[in-house]
Amino acid sequence: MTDPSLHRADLSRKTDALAQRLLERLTSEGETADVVASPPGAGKTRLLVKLCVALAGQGKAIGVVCQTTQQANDVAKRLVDETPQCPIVRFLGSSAPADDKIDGTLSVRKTSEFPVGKKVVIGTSAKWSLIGMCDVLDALLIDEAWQMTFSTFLPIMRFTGRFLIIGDPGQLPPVVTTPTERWATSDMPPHVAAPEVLLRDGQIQLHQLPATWRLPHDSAKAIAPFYDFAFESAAQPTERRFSRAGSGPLDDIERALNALNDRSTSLLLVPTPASGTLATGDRGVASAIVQTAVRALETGAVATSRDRAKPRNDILLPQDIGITTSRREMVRAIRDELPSELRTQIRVDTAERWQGSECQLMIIAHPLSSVRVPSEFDLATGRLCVMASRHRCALIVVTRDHVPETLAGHMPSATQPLGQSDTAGRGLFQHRSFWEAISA
Amino acid sequence: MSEDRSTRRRILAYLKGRPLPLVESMPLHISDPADRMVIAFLRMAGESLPWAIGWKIADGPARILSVPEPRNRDLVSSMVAEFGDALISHLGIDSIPTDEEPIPDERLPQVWIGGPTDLDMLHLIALRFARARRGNDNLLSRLNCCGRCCHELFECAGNPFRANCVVASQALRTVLVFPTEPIRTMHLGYLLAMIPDGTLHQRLSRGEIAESVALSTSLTPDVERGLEPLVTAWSKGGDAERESARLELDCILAKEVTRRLDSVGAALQALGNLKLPVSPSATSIRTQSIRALQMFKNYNARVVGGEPSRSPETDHDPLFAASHFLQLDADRQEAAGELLHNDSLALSDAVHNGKAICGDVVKRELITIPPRTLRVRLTVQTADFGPLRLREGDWTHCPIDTNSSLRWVIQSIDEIPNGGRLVVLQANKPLGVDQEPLQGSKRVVFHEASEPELRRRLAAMVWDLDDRLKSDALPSRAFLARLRGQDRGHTPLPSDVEDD
Repeated sequence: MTDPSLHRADLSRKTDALAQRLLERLTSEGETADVVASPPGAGKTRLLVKLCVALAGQGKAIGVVCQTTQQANDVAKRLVDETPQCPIVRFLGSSAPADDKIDGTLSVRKTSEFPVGKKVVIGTSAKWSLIGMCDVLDALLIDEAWQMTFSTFLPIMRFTGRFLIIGDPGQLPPVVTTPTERWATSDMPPHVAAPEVLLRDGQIQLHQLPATWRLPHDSAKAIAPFYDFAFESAAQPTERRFSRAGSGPLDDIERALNALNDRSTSLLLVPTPASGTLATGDRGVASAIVQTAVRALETGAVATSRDRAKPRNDILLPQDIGITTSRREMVRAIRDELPSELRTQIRVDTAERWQGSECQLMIIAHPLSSVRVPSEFDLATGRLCVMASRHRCALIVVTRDHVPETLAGHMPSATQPLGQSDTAGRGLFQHRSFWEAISA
Repeated sequence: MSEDRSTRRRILAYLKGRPLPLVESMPLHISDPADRMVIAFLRMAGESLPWAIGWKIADGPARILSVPEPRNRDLVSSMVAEFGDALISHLGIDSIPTDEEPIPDERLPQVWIGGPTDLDMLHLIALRFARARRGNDNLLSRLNCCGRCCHELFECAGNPFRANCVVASQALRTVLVFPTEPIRTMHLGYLLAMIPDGTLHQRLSRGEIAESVALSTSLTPDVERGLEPLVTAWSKGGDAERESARLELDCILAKEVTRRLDSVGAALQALGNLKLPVSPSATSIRTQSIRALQMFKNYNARVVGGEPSRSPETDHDPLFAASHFLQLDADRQEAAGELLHNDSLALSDAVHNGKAICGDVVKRELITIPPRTLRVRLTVQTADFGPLRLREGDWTHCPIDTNSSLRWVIQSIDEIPNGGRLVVLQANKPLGVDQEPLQGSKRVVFHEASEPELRRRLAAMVWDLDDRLKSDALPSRAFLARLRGQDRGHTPLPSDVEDD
């Protein structure tokens, strides 16, 4: 095992070197476009803020494109703290509430109100794409770009010729409800994530952030099959631990919690009834999830992190636990099972809503639990990747016990148009690899 | 409609023993009989192009064309060209293009087809003929135009906010739920047999008989086997034998086409017999359809003038693809919003699916946005604790709101410990105290509101990049030009490649 502090210093050096390269590209002559692919919790926003600070220091006018209002507000707050000398403009939609104003920022609704000269303007992609025109910016930095469709990216090309596109390719693709068969074989499909389309242009440079700072060492390995590039964890094997002061009756839940003494992921199998189960709103799995959360709290669980300047032992509180599933009906079933005093303290939500958040202990319902014949929706791994990468300390996967059999016996149909990648087959392979990693 | 709700409704229909309405008012636009062209196709098994085509406008006589050998492409081309002339004339494509806004009472020429296989045939004709290059100039221009029209109709049929081309079986399923398995409702004859009075058993028996007779573009296998010797006789026989085979083939195929045309007519009759009030959304769909037809006429005129035509396969140009995608997205949003807004059955479905909230207004306040703007903010308490698809920042609309353009933006959603939620919504437009909306309302519903106009604006902005690229006023000019360089759609095929 490498010395933890040396390991982190090495990763920081790599990240700094990447930031320096990107800065040089963004300040070079001519048009540039770079894509940064990142694993979860690898410091995407940190990199973006760092580049904004450096560019603002050189007197540049920068635009930052976020995908949600909350992300835009978070970036604005961080920039205010780090660049006191530069005007930070929060570019708001016409219906945004006035009391959303962030201290230290300038709230602006029209481009004519932009300050002259150096500035960092932060807005959502919806806002940026719909404005008429503004002065040409020195660069545009796009955060969480894998959540943005190519059709939303195109209008943003009006504002600059230098782009930095940062995102996580393993997570959920943009939400598209319109049928897209017509563009399935298009060279530049409008409904696909912008970086994915842009990378088809061979001249765009692809960079990678080297490590996840959120996930424990073995969790990073478990989610590695969801990514096309290698990355590691900043935490060394013994640096994150989940332990408990007491114990409960020795049952499957207890065994699943005990397994976390040696590793960061654990599996809780719920027997599949002979009569079959409902694919949605499975009360058996919902009950097991809730009992696991309650047992963890009752037995005095402690989350230990040694990867910061000072080691921390945090007693687990209800708000440190997160529960997620891939289906809304399961969210409802789990909420119904939760004791009323925990309903507002433990966050239960779908993977879509958990994207961008983290907590100490995550308990997830496996997306294939109760699914005997997986569909393309079930085999898409973006949701599973989000669900399995929110924890800082421990992850418990709860599922019906038929899943290994389902994964082994399923053969997906290749329904994709000719020349397109087999997403269902790839999803099945990733599902199997993840299952092997968590059940080993 | 969501799966579980439609299942419930289907069970209810089963218990009542008859098809039940799915909507309170007719959400489809059905043009006057004089503006409706009913079309039916037949094809030989294993072939993609038509063997026979029939059409009928208003109560006029049906016109039926067929060829004795559907694998002879010259014969098929002539038949399609003749059909194309009638289609072009019906749609008014030969009229002068205009950029004017549609007149409210302007007629909308509609095309009605029986089922999804007829729709596939429209696409196949588009694929084969929109860019055909074989034949004399006159024939080619007629075939190309017919191909473009068929492509447009194919696209319109997949757009819920267009009524230019309607699939009859789909229309029946939109307004009625049938007490049977969903897969059987794909057959138009089955649906029509279920509608007349009778017990459930009688309806199911009628349906079973009806579905044994093909109404798709394929013939019933027994019928097709009977035609095989005639096709062989036409191909290999002497003059007299050929003529006799041709006449017999024409007669059998005409009978098959007529049955299909009559089925679509019966579907139209059944929709009329429901006597549902016309939904306001049908009027919006009609206006949008007239606008779409005008745009198509302009596009067609440009193609005739020498501009490249769109590929029936996909949009290769990234700007066109994005613009087209955003436009379709806007149309779908608008259609869904209109339906929710005008139909309480659909609205309760939306509440059940978490796409709308239903609750009591517990607080009403006026918020000041500096310097002087006032906005109304409502706090609504809902009893439901189920998962919501709506989230902070989403735009909603209240159906009882007299101001149809007013939207409510969700500011916060907080769960109440003992069940329910507190949802804070703020009007998106400045309002004075005397204009306070929803005054006196207590129990209100807010449904997911789309902003199709914003999507359309986005579509226009994407397309605007084309002009900026040409005018050299784009900072990312080289980058975008490079992306568009992969455009295959504008590249002419090599002269030695036969594309049809």
